[in-house]
Amino acid sequence: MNLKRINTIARINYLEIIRSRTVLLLLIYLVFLVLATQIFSRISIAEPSKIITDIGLGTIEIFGLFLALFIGITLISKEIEKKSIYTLLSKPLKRHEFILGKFLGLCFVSLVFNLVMFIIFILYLYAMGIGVSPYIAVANLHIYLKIVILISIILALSSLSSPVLTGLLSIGFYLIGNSASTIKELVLLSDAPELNLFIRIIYFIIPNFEYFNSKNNVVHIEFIHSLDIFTPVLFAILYIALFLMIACLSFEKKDIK
Amino acid sequence: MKEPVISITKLAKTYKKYGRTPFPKRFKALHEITFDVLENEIYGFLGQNGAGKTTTIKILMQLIPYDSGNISILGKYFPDTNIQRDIGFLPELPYFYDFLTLKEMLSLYGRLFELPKKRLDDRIEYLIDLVGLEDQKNVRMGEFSKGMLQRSGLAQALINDPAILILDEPLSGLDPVGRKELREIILSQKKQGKTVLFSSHILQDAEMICDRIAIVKQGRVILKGSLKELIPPLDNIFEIHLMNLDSAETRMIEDQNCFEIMFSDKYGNLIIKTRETSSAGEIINIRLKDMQDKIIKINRKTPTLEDLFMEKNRED
Repeated sequence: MNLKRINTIARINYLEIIRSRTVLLLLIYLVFLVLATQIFSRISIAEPSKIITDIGLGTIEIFGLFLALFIGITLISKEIEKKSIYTLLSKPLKRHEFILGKFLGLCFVSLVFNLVMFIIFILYLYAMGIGVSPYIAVANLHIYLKIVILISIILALSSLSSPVLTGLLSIGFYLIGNSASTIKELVLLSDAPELNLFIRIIYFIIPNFEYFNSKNNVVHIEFIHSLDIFTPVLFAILYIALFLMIACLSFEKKDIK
Repeated sequence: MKEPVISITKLAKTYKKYGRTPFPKRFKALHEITFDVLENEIYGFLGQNGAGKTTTIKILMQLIPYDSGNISILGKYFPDTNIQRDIGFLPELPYFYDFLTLKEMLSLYGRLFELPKKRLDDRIEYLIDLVGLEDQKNVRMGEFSKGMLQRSGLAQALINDPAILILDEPLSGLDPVGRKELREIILSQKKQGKTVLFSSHILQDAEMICDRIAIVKQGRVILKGSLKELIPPLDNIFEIHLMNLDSAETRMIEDQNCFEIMFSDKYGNLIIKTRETSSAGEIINIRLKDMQDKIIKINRKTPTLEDLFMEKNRED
């Protein structure tokens, strides 16, 4: 594995997105943040500061998710379709280096977008006169980790299937992963052994994104236990390593026609 | 005797095509093809679309697996993962990231070879000058014409100063000026000691620059050798126009295998073609002895690779 070559591939992704209209997403984020928080803080009976924090962090997650999905699902297929992969793989670039480069490139872009959106959000909180808890940064880190796990899932799926299927399955992974506790309850409720087994399999395969939902703690109790700060990081590392391994192994065997 | 730098022996490849059924249809793209490319020669790998040229090249570049056979490049046997360091490759209809400038694109590919910065910068300047795109080096490649993209593609293939150049249809889609320029660049690379393997269906270009060729048809090499061997300089092609032949005379011509009928109509007008070492007089006096008065025109020309290609295609 050569880090220089991985970095070169990552740089292509970064340049592509920075030079495209995707950066407009940040402007849309700002408009969405202001409108959504203003509307919901007026119609909701909850404390406006809680509503704004909840919507602000939720919007960072949704926009990050969109970015990862829309860019991620075509990350590999576009290279094959346009045949640019032929020129890349005819150089001394290993297939796993290509996958890791693509992964790091999209992670870096997501990080830049996440940080810019987070800064916009913090400035907005200051402008609204709402106190900023340091735990907001932890909640944002957990959101980012969720996105990175999703990127690794997208890469694993797109090494195995078409962009459409990758998109659908990734959304499925995300939605089911965010409802892991409900799935666990379903296991207890279901009587049929086959269904029970099926739900258990789903529960074990799909990453439990609920580990990363520290946003609720920040909004409601303004505290996150140190164990809840670091455990998700460990989980994220394990999930990412697993999905990247699947992506690299399946791409290694892919017949690039 | 020059050493082969690329040696392909009994290379076979089958594609699986999945339709509506779970069982794939098998399509044999290469039937045990064998050929060698010698050091410092330009080797033309020629054939119609779908003949198996690109499949062979993709196998050489280790982009797709193969069923059986042996391949060695510069003495290294497949699968050798370090072979790419010595090869420059231009794929058919190359696409380069349209958001990058030519300079950025070359720098990107150069970095994959881990070239030192100073050497890479010098190489980029040299290659941009070689392909004649000095004025476009800072222009995004999305604005490039097809010819400019092809020249950029050749520049990226040369970024590592490779010993071997493998070019897949480098001249297709180019105008005559573009083709001439690219031919000259390929010839200049031969002068620098490089070996070039290129696939093409444009036979005129191949004839102008190739030392040796292989013609591939439906996954089989049907002809290979040097152009001098394949097209003897003493050969002539005669195109003979005849008129008002009766049915017996027409049949007589049809029965002679040496004649290829290019045109015929119900009035007995015929245009035939033949490749001979003999003179026009001998053909008229011997083969068309009884129809001399019906010959209205004879054109003589030196046979080309295209004539040879058409002949071989007809035979097989």
